[in-house]
Amino acid sequence: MNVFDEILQPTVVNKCLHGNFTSAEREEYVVARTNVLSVFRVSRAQKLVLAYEWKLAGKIIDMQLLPQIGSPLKMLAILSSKSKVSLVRFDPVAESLETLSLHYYHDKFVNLSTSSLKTESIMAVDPLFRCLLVFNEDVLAILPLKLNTEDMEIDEDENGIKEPMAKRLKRNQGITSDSIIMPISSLHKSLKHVYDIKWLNNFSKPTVGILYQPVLAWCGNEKVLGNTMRYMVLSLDVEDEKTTVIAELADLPNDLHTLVPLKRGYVLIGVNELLYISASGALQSCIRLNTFATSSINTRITDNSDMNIFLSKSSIYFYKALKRHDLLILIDENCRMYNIITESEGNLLTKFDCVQVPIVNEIFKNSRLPLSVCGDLNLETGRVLIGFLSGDAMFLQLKNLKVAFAAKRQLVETVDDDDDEYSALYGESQNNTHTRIVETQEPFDISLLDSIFNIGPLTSLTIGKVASVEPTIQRLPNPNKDEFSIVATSGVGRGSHLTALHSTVQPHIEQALKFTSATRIWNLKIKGKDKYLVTTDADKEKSDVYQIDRNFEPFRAQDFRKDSRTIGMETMDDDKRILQVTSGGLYLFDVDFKRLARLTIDIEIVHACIIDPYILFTDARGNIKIYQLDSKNKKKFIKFKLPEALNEIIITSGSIFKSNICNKFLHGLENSSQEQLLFTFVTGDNQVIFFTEKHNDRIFQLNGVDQLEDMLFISTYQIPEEMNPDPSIKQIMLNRLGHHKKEEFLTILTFGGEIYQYKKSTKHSGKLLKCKSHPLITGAPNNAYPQGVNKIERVAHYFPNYNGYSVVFITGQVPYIIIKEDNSVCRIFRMTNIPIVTMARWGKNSVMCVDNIKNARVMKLDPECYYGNTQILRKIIIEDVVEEFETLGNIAYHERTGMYIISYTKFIEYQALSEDGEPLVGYDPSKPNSTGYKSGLLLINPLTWNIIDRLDLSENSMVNDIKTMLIQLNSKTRRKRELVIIGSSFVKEEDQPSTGCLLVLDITEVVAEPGKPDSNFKFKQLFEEEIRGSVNAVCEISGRFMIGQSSKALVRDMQEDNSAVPVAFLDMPVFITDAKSFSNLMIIGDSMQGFTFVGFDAEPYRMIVLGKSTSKFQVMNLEFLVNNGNINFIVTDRQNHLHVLRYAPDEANSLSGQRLVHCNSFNMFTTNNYMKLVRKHVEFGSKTSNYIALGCQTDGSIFRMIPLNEASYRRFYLVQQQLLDHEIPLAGFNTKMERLDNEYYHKGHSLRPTLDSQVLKKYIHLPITKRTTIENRVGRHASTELWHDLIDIEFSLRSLTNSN
Amino acid sequence: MSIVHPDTSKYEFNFEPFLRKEYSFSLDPDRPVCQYYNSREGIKSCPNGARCPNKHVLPIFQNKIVCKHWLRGLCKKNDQCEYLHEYNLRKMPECVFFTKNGYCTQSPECQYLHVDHKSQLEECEDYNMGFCPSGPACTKKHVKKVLCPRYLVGFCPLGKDCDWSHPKFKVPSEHSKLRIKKDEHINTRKMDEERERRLNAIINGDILVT
Repeated sequence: MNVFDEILQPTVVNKCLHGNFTSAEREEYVVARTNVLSVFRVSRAQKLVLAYEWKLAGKIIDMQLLPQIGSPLKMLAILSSKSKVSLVRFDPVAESLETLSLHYYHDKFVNLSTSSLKTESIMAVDPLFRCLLVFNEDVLAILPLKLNTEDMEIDEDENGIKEPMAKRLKRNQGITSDSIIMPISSLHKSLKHVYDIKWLNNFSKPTVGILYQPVLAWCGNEKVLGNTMRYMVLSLDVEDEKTTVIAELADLPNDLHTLVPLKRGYVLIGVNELLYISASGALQSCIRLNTFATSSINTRITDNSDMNIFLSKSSIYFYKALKRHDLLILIDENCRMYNIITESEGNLLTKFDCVQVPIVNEIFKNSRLPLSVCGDLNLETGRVLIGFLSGDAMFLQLKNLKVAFAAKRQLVETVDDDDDEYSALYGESQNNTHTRIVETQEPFDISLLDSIFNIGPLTSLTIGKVASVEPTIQRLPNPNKDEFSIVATSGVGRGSHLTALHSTVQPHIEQALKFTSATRIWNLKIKGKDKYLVTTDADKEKSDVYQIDRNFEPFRAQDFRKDSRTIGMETMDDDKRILQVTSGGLYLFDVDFKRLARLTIDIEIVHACIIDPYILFTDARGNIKIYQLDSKNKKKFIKFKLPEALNEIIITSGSIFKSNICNKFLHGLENSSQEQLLFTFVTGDNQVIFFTEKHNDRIFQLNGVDQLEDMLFISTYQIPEEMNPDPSIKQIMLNRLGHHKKEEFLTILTFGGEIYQYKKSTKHSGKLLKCKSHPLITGAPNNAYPQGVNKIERVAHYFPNYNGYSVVFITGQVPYIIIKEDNSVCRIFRMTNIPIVTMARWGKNSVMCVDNIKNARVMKLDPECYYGNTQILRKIIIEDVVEEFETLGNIAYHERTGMYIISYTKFIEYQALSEDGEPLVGYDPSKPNSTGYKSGLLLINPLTWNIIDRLDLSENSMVNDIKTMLIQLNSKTRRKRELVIIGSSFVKEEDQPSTGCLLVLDITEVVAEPGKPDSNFKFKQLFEEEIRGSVNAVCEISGRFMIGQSSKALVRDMQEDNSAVPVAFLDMPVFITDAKSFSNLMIIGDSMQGFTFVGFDAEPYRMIVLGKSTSKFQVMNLEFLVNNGNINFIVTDRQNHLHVLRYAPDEANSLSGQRLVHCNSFNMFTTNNYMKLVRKHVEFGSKTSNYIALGCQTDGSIFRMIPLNEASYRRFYLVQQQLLDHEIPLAGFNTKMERLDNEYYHKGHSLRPTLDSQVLKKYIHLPITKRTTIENRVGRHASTELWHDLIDIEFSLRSLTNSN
Repeated sequence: MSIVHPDTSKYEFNFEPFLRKEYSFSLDPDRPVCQYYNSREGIKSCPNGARCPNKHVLPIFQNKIVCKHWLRGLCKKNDQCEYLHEYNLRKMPECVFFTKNGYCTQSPECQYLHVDHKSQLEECEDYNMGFCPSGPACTKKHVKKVLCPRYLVGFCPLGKDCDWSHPKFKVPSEHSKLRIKKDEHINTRKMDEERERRLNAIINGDILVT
């Protein structure tokens, strides 16, 4: 059975809100990315800084902020799938989400609805927060809220006589009353096919506006039926469940889809027109946006059809009621902004116009399909956050939006010269009202303040070399040698690009050196310059000094202790002194290594920490000593008096940190944020204790750290009566991590190699909260994974400035880096693909790393990468000087040459021509054309990411699939060659039968063009055939290849003369969507009827149907999942489910395998676009190769599906059950319901579901006591096995880095 | 093993014996045909029976005419059908019309093999060796090739997979117009004299060397 693991978090911002959710003082944005809820704060530099992030168990479909009684903070109403509403507030004590109430509507909706429900409901909140509605298809739920005290008073006035306020409060102390659930027709019997439903402003009772169409019509039957769209305003009496129709409008255009309530009226948005309806319900004006707009509407019509705007349903709007008028901005799917100007005198509309906002700086060049907009905006200035499906979410500053009005005004002025209107609009606040020259005004300005990284929608992926193209860098082996990355195509339109996902940091190598053997190095900076490099070899008891600026010449320092092991090296006293700590004592030198002082210690020193002027060291017996440099002459060591209690404690390590974490407990510093020196120690029983410079024998401790509790707090240390030393904490660090905005973190490194992090609470000083967001497993406790920590010692190093980032490095056989971007949580990544023994800072912001084979490299962080997601992401933009390629669709990697093949699709105007090139009957050249496509192939060299060859297909063609595969060219020799197989189809109108094309290409080496050394490969076309039927999928099968042409699966064989001859075929029910092969077994997915499992045999050629799925999935993608000699299939369908089926001829009800056994179904929160099989890395034991499936999705996330053996599955299942039973789900999102509840639940085995690693990984972050409870339930010695299983999941993609 | 194109053909499935028994189907499509199996006598003719790792070609594949019902997915006789259930265009006979006329009226849809006899011409040996005296008038195919520089210097690690040509040293056949001359045929006394004369002329300054 399998586990589902998300390896890349979603990046598409699908909903954002502006308001105070966690802090009343700071401007905050609440952002939802599928299932990740983040709160960003606006920093002083106008950047978005992440304050909190929670990963929920389900998708956030919609959310709204609601006021909270008695608190300046707002609460959140979250709508999730299955029409569930959670009311959530921020809990300032635990700094987490607190669920206030949960409302489930799905079951009731199913009972009441007469048709099948939509997957996503609509939520709307009353502007006065009296109630909230959830609507789906034809059913409606109204949830009365008790949030607004003023509103309650109004209510009381109205209903006061019948029901006194006090009584009502007693009856229900909560914030909500009972929900009312009903079919929409019970509001009014004519209501049917509702398009939009919104609460309206300015009514004393909750009132809704409904846009609906009782008789469905479209442009095909419009002439017969006419305009059938209707609009109705209904006032609701929630108490008595009565409704009153306030206004009704009929015969509206059929393309209306959205209703926007304004302060004094409503705007109805249609694809081709905008309508204005007054508050009393009279249609007052209409703007024609293009030539398709309806002409049969009886109102004042403004003709803007030359603007050629199409406002499809995916366009979004931003509305804000300003003092004098309404601000309504529409953003269409191509990210053009329009300002809708409405002016009215009383109820009479005086002006209704649509103006395009003049954006000159092409800020939205790479953005398409906006999803959500929020912010604070007025005519002068303002900031908005816009989330896009394609392109980074943008945090924008808008200045002088009024110019958008003014530009139009000038135009009006020339027509009817009427500036009274203008002054009425802007009033006195407008200084230059009477100056008629537009140039004197400040121009409209839109600028980007910050952006949230987005790589969605991911359309296809492949595995290929990106950073490992060059085998050597600076004459040393590439630190990422033989490493493969995942390369995906992302985005739509002009913002489309490639994304490379690195599982390790791939640094820039500035300098590379061959080294003598060294176990540790130090770089001594004198006057801001790298001066001396000190190396030591612990095995040979040797130390050396080299001069960096003199080409690493050995420095003849006579006083320097060369014959012993150096423990620590540091410059002191403003770089005037150099201190060397050897295993035998302390030595103080001046800058030329002349000895000034010496202090010999009898017992061997094992660890030292030097922070000017203090020297802390521990000896082999576990004693601690602190010395201080004499403050006058800086030539003497003075012993620092330790608290007495310290002598009785067993100490394992000690360091000095600067922090203000315990200022609250220090006399005179209660309110100061000044950083203090903290002498910090880890005791034998894993307590962290510390004291300050003026300690007065007072020691503090971090309570709860020994059990790794969720929250640590500072208290005075009491020596325990009994102490059982069982050290597990190896090293701790307390320092600031981040980029521009740094935050304080406590990093704990254990002997087992695990990394735990705690973040300092921003609200309560002296409290630390555990970081639980998507961890990377680096080790395991109780010696469960000794392979991780042996060979090379793991030591954490802190670098305050590594390319601007404050980071922690951890050396070892597998080195790690802990890095934090401002708009993300702390992330742990693997640092390069080589072991790192030691490191030292280098230059201004680099690091020198020494590996186990004595190579030293100066590494710099790749600035093009983004380190804020769970994998390192790099955007690669494919550009040609002359033209843009727009959407990049498919990608394949040609292994023999190391080249990438990418398909592009450009939008062109569709010419409705018949087969002989004549315009079709009814073709109107005056109207705008529909969109057609033109596509082609690009050959990309990953060295420079330049296009080195291209192949353009004809107009209206669309590449559907590209694969590279090993094809047998000669049936006798069976020599295989890697060829590129491309399937495409022609997109034409529905009267013509679909046709497609099959292309077989080879990539050949040619002599590079002069000046372009990367252009040494070219496409060579081997075979091309036009095919009746669209070629949707191509797939390798035992040296031949299968193409899916519409409903026929055809296996073709390459002949010696490079022609591809059909050798076998199989008919599929409707339309082949995807096909995959494993050995000579194949699965072919159908768009309507599930999929078929087929065996292929050659000479005689046969395609034997071995099994079929019994459910009629609408297959999107499928993949094999092979484990322990069994075959499973994973299928994703159009409803965003992921099904696991199995070929089990032994099973009783499988009709000897002909029915594929349905194992389980799993909900994904977004559409899967592509799946690929990858060999699994085996960390423990068995040599048999297993495979995992990788999939990429529309919301920018990538998942992997990992098969498990029976024993690990059972262990995990128990752990998942335990965790789900005992942990309170965040925001009321129940994992089981969100992931497993679907219509297929009863078909599978309910006790053997696909597991969710998001739940399993919570185990890692449980406090030790809770972990032990779970382990005991799972079985004896379960701890080691559980950690092995977890590591096995985590490392399953290491096959990319250790490919050989 | 390649991570980009994982080799899955060696994987052993638990259900393989079942497939062999039920469909006489095994996981390597290019496995050899069983020498013992006789399709008329059935499974008993092979000593390994259903467990035989080699191919047992069913009697249905001895037929020559493709079943028209099977082509439409309607044949109910399955393996017992007296017609052929295989759609292999490699085995189609040559299109008579095309061979005769050089084109076919059914062109894209014609199911018969369209063999372009020009492409089946032999490669011209002389041309491959460097020069064909007949030039364009040669009846054989002249295929332009790029010499592999690695091969020319001595060794090409790619071997057969190399994109460029690896010409072999070949003694021209008797029919070829090219001959390898023996040394004495080339170094005649007449030529020596001529060379000496030219050398002397250069030394004497009669001919200017440019």
